[in-house]
Amino acid sequence: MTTTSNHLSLVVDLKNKNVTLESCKQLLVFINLHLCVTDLNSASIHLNNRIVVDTNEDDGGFNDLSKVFLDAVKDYYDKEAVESTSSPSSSSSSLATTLAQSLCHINRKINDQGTDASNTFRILILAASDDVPSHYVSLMNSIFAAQKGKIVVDVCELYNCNTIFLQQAAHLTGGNYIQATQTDCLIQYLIMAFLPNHELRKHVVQPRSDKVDFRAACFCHKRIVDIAYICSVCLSIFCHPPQRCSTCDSPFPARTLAKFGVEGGANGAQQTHAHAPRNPSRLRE
Amino acid sequence: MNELLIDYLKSLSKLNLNKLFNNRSSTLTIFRLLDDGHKQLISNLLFNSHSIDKKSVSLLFKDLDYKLLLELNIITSDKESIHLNDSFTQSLTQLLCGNTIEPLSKTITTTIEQLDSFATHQWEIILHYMVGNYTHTPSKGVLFLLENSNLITTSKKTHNITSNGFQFLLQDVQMQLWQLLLQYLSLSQIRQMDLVEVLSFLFILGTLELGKDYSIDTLTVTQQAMLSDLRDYGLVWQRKTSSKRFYPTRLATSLTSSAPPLLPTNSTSSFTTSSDNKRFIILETNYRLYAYTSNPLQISILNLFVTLKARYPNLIIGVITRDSIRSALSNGITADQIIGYLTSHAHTQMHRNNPLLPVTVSDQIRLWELEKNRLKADEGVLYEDFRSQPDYEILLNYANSYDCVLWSNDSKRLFFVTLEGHQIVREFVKRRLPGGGSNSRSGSGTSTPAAAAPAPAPATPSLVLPS
Repeated sequence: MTTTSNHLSLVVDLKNKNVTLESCKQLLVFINLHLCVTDLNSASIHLNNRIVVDTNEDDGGFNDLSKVFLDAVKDYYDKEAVESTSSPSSSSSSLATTLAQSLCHINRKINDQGTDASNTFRILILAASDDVPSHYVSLMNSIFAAQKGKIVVDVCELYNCNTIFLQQAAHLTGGNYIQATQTDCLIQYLIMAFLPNHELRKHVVQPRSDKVDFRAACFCHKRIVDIAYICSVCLSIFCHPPQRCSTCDSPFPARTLAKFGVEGGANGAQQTHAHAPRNPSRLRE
Repeated sequence: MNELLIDYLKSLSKLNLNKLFNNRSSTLTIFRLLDDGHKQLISNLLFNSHSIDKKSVSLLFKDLDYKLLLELNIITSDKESIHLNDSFTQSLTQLLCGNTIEPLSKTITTTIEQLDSFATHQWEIILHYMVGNYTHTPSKGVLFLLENSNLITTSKKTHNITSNGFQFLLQDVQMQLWQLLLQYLSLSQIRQMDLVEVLSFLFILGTLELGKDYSIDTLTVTQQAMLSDLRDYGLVWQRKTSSKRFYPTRLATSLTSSAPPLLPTNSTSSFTTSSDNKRFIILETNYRLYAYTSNPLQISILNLFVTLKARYPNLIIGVITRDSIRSALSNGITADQIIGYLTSHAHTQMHRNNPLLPVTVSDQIRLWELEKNRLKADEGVLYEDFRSQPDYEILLNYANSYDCVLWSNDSKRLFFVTLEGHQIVREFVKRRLPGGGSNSRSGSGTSTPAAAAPAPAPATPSLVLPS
């Protein structure tokens, strides 16, 4: 049997844009299809820092699963509505933290199954919100962790969101990035792009985005920048050359700072295109 | 299990397949049997107008051969496009959109351990019986099935395991189960049972939940009749034969999944999931064999081709001898099967050796087999009593040009042709040698005995050749 077991972690981010009930239902059908492919497949849904459902643990039928998920989405919007009336724009997207949590969840499964198991894991991020530059570092840390664990991160964007970080996430981990502009046929996007497992993707022509926006957010002001100053020790990114690196505390050479006309002496800093650090195993803040 | 079942499904008629697709359990099972690529193609079509032109398929998939889907009637094809079968689409869509297969009942009245031990017990009886351990005799239905599947042969009240049977024992439980069930299916037609109902009941069993009881009221008459057979195989359990409820065992619920069908119930159980327990044989160059097992089934299997010398609580000592191998060979077990068995069960310590088994032993087992295969029998006709050497040569050359000469002896002017060749050669003799240059003897005495040939002389005109 060529089919191997595959765990799909679904990270749903609903902030800012409302997702229709129709989309949720189509998403559920997709999960059901994933579970139908072989009896070894499993799935878990992560929403707003919470594991809504994991088919390995709670052994309910599909109806239970859909009920739990739809209730969770409803709860989320209800709570959101209350919060936004009391203090507008207080909470921000929980994508980065939810992604980190799903990675932890997967990591626990990997540790549980031991060394000889052939289970493979992947994450599908369903994003309905824009990038939050302040989450850049934690998001990138998660992405590098996924890359190291050979976990494919697929990204499906609903409504024209502008999330260059997630584009990079899909690119770095070898996943697919899709913008589902017509949400009424969301299921077809999901099936075509995200149903095939790692093995099958080699044999299927997949939608690939040639252009990946590699811009990064600076560590000091969390702004997305084209050109930035990079600490030569820890590769942190800054939009303005600082006296000392805020991450590793190494001083920028005075001469380099001076070259850029920064007050504080005849110092200088390297200026580089801020193609987010190519391959640092982790970024620190 | 996959290929076995798919091959079987391919042999079904389109009408029967369509009936199967009307059943959601069957549809799901068949869907799961397919390759990933096929599943993807079906999924693509499922919510997208159910048809696609052939060009698009080759654009979407790098190398997809959907011949199998056509054979299974899941898709139909016309000149330009392919279409998904309507019943298949409907069943699968319903399944995906939340109309799951509802359990018939939800009261738990028996423990899973009980069911497991029942299933293991029933299944072990069958396997033990095959290797000649007659402490329990399976029911007549099982025996009939085993004989019909050519796994055992019956002669004078004793049963012998066949080559197929030995191969059967080497497979995992799920394969064994399906092999028997497919045989059951082919017999069901003779017994006037509806094939589709039998098959869909098997598929339904695969989707039931372990430890729950199900009412037999929803089953058709055929399916109710099947229950008693399935009970003999350990697939379902009933409190009483007349009981209105049945419990699927782990053997049944794992029919179509990849979960282990039997769990080890005790230390002597034959079914262990860990691979370490499968590796217990140490074979030495002096033909001695040490098997670290106390499992009666494994011991019985070893007993088929090893002379057992001593038995300790966890260890069996035996020797591979010419006689022990010959007795196995005479049952139809091949040398490759024996070597395959020894290789797959070799102890982890043996894995340090390269090659795994001592060459002396594996070569000797093959030589013993060759010993048995020294003779080869072919049916044919012997030509003899040629008047002259030229006559003989003309005829021999003619026969040679048709490549039908099996053996010839120039000094005695004899040659032997195959049955097909005989027609041609005889025509030639009538045409070219009107005087009747030779006699073709097709009597019984045409076999020339080869030296030290223990094989019986074939009754039909034939020649036995040293190979």
